[in-house]
Amino acid sequence: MAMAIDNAFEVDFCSYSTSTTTTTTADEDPACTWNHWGSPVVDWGSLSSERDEFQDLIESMMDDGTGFELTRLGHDHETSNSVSVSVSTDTMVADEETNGEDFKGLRMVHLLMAAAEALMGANKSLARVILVRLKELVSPSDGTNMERLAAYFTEALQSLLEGSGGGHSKHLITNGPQHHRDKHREADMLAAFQLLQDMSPYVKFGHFTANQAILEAVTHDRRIHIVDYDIMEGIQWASLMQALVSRKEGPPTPHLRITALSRGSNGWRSIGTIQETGRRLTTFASSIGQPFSFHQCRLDSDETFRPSALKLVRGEALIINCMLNLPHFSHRPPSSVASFLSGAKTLNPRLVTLVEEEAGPIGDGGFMGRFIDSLHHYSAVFDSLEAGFPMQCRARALVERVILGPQIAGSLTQIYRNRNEEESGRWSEWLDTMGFNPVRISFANHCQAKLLLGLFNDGYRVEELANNRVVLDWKSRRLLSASIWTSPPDSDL
Amino acid sequence: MYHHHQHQGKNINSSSRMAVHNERHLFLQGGHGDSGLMLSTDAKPRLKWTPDLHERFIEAVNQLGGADKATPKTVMKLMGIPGLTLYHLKSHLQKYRLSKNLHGQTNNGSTKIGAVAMAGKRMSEANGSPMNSLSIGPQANKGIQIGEALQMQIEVQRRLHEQLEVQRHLQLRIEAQGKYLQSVLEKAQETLHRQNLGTVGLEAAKLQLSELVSKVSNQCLNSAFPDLKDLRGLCCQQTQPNPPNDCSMDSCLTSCEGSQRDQEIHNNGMCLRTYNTHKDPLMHHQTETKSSENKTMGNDDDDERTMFFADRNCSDLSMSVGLRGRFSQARNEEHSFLEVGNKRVDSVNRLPYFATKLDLNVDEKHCKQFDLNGLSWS
Repeated sequence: MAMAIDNAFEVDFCSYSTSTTTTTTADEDPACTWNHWGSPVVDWGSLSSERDEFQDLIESMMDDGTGFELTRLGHDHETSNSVSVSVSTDTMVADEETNGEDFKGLRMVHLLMAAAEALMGANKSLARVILVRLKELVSPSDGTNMERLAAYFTEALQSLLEGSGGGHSKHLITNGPQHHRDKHREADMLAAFQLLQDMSPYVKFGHFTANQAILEAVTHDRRIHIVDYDIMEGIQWASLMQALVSRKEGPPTPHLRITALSRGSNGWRSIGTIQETGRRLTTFASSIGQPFSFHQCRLDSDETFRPSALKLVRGEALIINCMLNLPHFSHRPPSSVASFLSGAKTLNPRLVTLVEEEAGPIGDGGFMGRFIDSLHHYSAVFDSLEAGFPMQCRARALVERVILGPQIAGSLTQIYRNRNEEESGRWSEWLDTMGFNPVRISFANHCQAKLLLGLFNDGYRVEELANNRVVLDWKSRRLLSASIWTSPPDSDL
Repeated sequence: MYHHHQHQGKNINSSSRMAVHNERHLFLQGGHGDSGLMLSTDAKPRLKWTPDLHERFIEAVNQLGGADKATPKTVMKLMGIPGLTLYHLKSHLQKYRLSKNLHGQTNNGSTKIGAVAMAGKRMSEANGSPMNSLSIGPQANKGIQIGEALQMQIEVQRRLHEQLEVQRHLQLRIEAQGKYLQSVLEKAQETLHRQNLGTVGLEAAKLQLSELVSKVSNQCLNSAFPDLKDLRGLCCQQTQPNPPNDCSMDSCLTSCEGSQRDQEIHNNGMCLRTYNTHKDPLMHHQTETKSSENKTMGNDDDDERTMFFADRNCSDLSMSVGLRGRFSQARNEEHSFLEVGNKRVDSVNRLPYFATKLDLNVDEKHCKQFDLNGLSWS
């Protein structure tokens, strides 16, 4: 990859601090003063506004910029010049050097959109040129959030352009696996995953909300059976087991059985296989005295779920757990998720817990709309990490490189693949139309979510969108949604 | 008389039983006019707040913009009922506000409480009259008011208690998750390590060790790890002069093989744990004071954050103690490093690298020996 990934750890401490994406001009910002060591001391109070500055930026750009871009593209296409889009952008901003940061960000967004447009229009040469220009401007290791974000988007578009399947960035694909290269990747993955856990509440929010709902649903049960769509390392279940072991109401320490759905490959981003996950969970359970058993259920080669493949036991409370697109998860094909959820319905589960990425309203934007929404989304994620850990550039760069970068690539691949389809709604809406009943999220669950977010940065918020759905927001951007469902009481098996 | 009785029948539909009681008082009163006000004849002017009257009251209050915006004077003017005094309105408005606030604060039980409060109030009004005839009205009224207040209090207490429970459970759950994550990472690192030792020679391992040593600030090393001075001697050819930015890691990266970088990375991973074990004495102490206040930990104060993960002890190898805590200390340590003219940023990374490098099989006893308290912790 042409981009300087190897220098991921090279961080220029001083120059970074002058550019924070949340302020317009750093020197004029009253909220941002400089302490003795040249690091910004930001007064979050005055910076907190209803809308993310980036969102404003995007929207102002979209109002007058988008149309502009398209006509320019059209013009260039006619004259069949080798595109000087970058030149025209430069002339556009030539006399506005004062807001350098802003315009650089704007320029990058312009270019990204232009590249996406070109890709959509199958104008590969144009897209290629734009991406080259972008690569000159951005780098995944230094610069502002916007620049690094743009770097990852550029990479993702590049791989879409070259049609490398799966959206995995080249440097992270393990084809031609040298043994040592695999291990290199896995070591990175370990560190990055751990950092992600500590720096952001995304993973915990999903897990804990689901677990609390499960606990409340099974207070009087002796046997619990959980079917987990994508167990990854099984981290979600550690805290559930702890809670089950120490529960006070109902039969003490119920038996827990977990069935994990397994695929051909567990995804290149998981640490270890499903069997290993099972072993770890079993060990952990025995260490805290939780009666436990672990099973696997294979999905078909196209990842379709067949309910008949599950082993069910009478008298157990069946829980369906579906975690989708948490930061370190792979994007699963929608057909697979659909097969899982509809299969689940036939099993009449006690509870269905669903955690998914929350996308903004797309309207009729189609691919471009979703692309821009994706930009918003990941910009919020990058901002949230920065806000909590402004000094830890290296740590964040690692998380961004190992987890978020591939996530972006996967997300764009999925958007691209579905570009000609109707807007795919949320899975929670789908569950609703399928006939599942919402289950109210309790006061304790809300309370827990708020307390959890309180451990992190102030910018995180819990939003209650429905009585069975809570959403984790960063500033004004919705990021992750957790919803709880149950099968209707009078459904026939 | 009959006429009067009928007239009152209109106004006291839902509380007819009470009305019958009150009748004697009521028609002792003179004309009520159209206001339909029922005033008793005892010393304190007790007004009977019928549902009808109460509805008019609520209308007026809403017109004025809600219970908090309305004042007795304005309500009185707006209702325009002769005989209705400020005194009546003051107490009624106060009770109304109380019940409204309860309703707003809590989600579910509140409606009941609110209804109970209002119903209780109405009951108190209704009960007031016959009791007044025995002139113990005011006291009984107060008793019922206290009852309402107590109910409110109980509800609030219940909520607080629940929140504390949730907080406690959350702490335990985060710990459990951290423990599990720890085991995942440990096992993975073990495999990596085993594989690495196969591929990386002993020389290379030594080399790597010395590089890590060279990155740590000399001053701190001297104080904390005296036995490692010799190792530093090994790396003199590797030592980089202070680079302008945090590139020392990079220069090592370019000169080392990839496998060595693995070691650094997973030391990066391990560093959290050992580093954090040192913070326990601090945290244990501080958590006592903090948990007594029922605050949410929602501010930027780093100390509070580190305090939350209080139940750590060295034997509990939880990783999730919080990079937050670690890095918050790092911020301070960076400053101390800057003071000694070493412009390295992620100095905190190096110390634990150091600690773990010497002790790859995590041995808690060793951890304790490396007393990082020699550094300035602010």
